[in-house]
Amino acid sequence: MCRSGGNRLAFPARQVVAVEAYDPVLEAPNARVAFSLAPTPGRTLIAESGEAVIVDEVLVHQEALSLLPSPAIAGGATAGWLKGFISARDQLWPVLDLADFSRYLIRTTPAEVA
Amino acid sequence: MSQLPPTPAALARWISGPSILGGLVGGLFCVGYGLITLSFVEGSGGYFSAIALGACVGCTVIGDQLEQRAMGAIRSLLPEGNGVQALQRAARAAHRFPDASFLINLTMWGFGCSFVAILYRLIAGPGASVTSWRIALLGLGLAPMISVITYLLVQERSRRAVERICSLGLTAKQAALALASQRRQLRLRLMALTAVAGATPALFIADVIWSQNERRVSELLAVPDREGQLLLAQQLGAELDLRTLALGMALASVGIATAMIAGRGLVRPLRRLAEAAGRLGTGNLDAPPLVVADDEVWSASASFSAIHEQLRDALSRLRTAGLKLNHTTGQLTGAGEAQQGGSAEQAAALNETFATTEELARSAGQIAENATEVSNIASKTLEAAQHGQHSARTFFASMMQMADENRRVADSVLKLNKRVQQIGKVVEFIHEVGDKSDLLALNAELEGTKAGEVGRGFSLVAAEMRRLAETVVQSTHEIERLIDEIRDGTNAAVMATESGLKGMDGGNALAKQVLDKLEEIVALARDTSESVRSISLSTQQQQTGSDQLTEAMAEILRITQEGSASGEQMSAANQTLCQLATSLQSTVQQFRLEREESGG
Repeated sequence: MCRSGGNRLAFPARQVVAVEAYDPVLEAPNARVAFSLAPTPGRTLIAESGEAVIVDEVLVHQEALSLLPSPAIAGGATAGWLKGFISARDQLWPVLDLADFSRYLIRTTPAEVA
Repeated sequence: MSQLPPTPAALARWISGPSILGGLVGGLFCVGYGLITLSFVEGSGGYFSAIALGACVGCTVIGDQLEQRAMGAIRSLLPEGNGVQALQRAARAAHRFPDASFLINLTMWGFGCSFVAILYRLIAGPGASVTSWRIALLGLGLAPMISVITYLLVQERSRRAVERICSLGLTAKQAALALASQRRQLRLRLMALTAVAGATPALFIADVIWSQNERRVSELLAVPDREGQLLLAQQLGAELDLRTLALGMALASVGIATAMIAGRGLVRPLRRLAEAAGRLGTGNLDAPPLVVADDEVWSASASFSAIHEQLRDALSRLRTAGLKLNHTTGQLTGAGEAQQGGSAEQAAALNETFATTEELARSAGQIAENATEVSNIASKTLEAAQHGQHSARTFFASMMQMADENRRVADSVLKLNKRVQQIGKVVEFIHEVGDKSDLLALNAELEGTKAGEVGRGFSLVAAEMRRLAETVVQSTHEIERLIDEIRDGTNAAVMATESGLKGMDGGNALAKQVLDKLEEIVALARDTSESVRSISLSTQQQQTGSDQLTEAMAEILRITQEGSASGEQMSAANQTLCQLATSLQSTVQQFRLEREESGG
C-alpha cells in the first residue's frame, strides 16, 4: 500500500521487485501526476518488467487480503490496470497493476512533467 | 614868478639869460666908465670903444657857448619823458651851473680886459701904457663884481630849473642823491661875496679919486705962477665933483643890490624850509617840498626833505599799523571771545569726558575682574579638557580591546559554524544511512511479505528495523532542523559580530576623532587659557591706564579751567589793546598825508 499526495494506492506485493530511493536518472513516472499534483521525490517501486512508479510513502501489509472486484465500467475505463479494492486499516485501497499503471502514467504524463 | 620854458633847450637858454645880460651890461658899463675916467692918447678913444665893444660881444658869445655846453645834460632831456638817471644828471648840471657860469664869466672878463688892454697898447703906442694898465686893472677889478651879480641871478633861475627837473620824476631822496656832491662852503662864499661887494666899489672909487687927483695935479702944473696955482687949488678944493659922487653912489647901490640879491638867495630857501617846517608842525605831511639851495642850506634842505619823507613813511606805516592793529585786536577780541566760549564748551565737554573716563575706569576694573574669573574658568576648562582627553584615551583603548574581543568572538562563531556544518554533514550521512536502512528494511519486509507465512517473522523484524530507520531519519531531520537553527543563529551571530565589528570600527574612528578633537580642544583650551591670562593681564594694565587717564583728564580739566580764566584775562587785554589801537589811529589821523587825499 502506498500514499501519494494523501491519496491511497495499493499494488500486489508480488509485482514489486524492489523499493528504491528516488533517482532522477531512472525517469520513473510519479503517481502524484495521476491526482494532478506536482511530482515530488519519494520511493520508487520497480516492477518485474522494469516499469517503475514513484510514490510518497510505502506501507507493507504483511497479511493477505481479499481482493474486492472493481466495477466493469471502472475496469474498462482504466484499461485494465485497476484490479480491484482491498480494505485495510479501516480504509478502502484501490489495487493497481504496477506495470500497467506505470505505462498509463507515462502515456498521460506530459513530457515536461515526466 | 615867471613861467618856466617848456622845452629843455629853452630852459637852458632861460637859465643862462642873466649871464648874457650881465656880460653886455658890464661891458657897456666898462666902456662908459673908461671913456669917463681914462686918459686916452689923442685920437685913440674911438679905438678903445671899438675894441672894448668887440671884446664884450665876443666874450659874451664865447661864454654863452661854454655855458650851453655846461648845460648839455639839460639840453639832452627828451620832451616825452626821461629816466631817473637822466633827470639826475640834468638836475646836477642845473644845480652846478651858477658856479660854472661864475668861472666862465670871470675868465671871459679877465681874457676880454687883457685883450682890450694889449690891443689898445699896440694901437695907441707906448704913450698909452698907463692907460692900458688901467684898462686891465679896470677889467680885472670889475670882473668879480659882474660875475657875482650874474652868479646870483643865474643861481635863482638854476634853483627853479632844478625844481622843475625834479618835478618831472625825481623824489626828494633821488634829488638829494643827485645833488649830494655839492660842496659846503657857505662861509667862504659869503666872505668872497662880501669882499667882492665891498672891495670892487672901493676900488673903483679909489680909481676915480686917483684919476681926479691926477687931473687936478695936471691942471695945477699947467698954471705957471704960484698965486695962480694957489687960487686954482682953492677952487679945486671947493669944487664939488658930482660925477665922482654919482659914480660912488652908483657903485654903492650896486654893492647894496648885490648884497640884497645874495641875501635873498640865501634867505628864500630858509624861508621855504621854515614854511615847510611850519606845515609839518601843523601835521600837514604832504609831499615834501624840494627847496633847492647851496652848501649847508642845501644840506639842511635835503636833510629836511629826508626827515619829511621818513616821517611821512613812518606815519603812513604807523597809520597802517594802527589800522592793522585795530583790526587785529578786533580779531583777537573776537577770537578771545570765541576761545572763551570754546573754552567753556571745552570745559563742559571735558567734564563729560572726565565722567566718561571715570566710568571707563570702573568698567575697566569690572572687566579686569571678569577677565580674572574668565582666566580661572579657562584654567578649569583646560583641566576638564585634559581630564576628558585622558578619559577619551581610556575609552579609545577600551574600544580597541572590545574590538579585539569581538573579533575573537567572530572567529569563534565562524569556527562554531564550521563545526555545525561538519555536524550537518555527519547528520546527513546518518540520514542517508537511515534512509537506506529504511529502504533495506522496506524491501526486507516486502520480501518477507512475499514469502508469506514463512517470511512473516522476517517481515516483522524488517518492519521493526524500518521503524528504527524511520526514527533515525526523523531524528536526523530533527537534528538537521536544529542544525539549521544553529546555522541560522551562528550566521546571525556572525552577521551581528561583523556588524558589531563595523560598529566598533566606526566607534573606534569616532573615538579616535573624539580623541583628536579633545586634543585640539585641550590645545585650544591651553591657548585660550594663555590668551585669557594675557587678556587678564592686559585688562589689569588697562585698568591702571584708565586710572592714569582719569587723573590726566582731571589735570586737563583743571588746566582748561585755568585756560578759560586766562582767556578772559586775554580778552580784557585785547579790549585794552583795541582801545590803544583806536587812540593810536586817531593820533595818526591828526597828520594829513597826501595818500589820504588820494584815497590811499
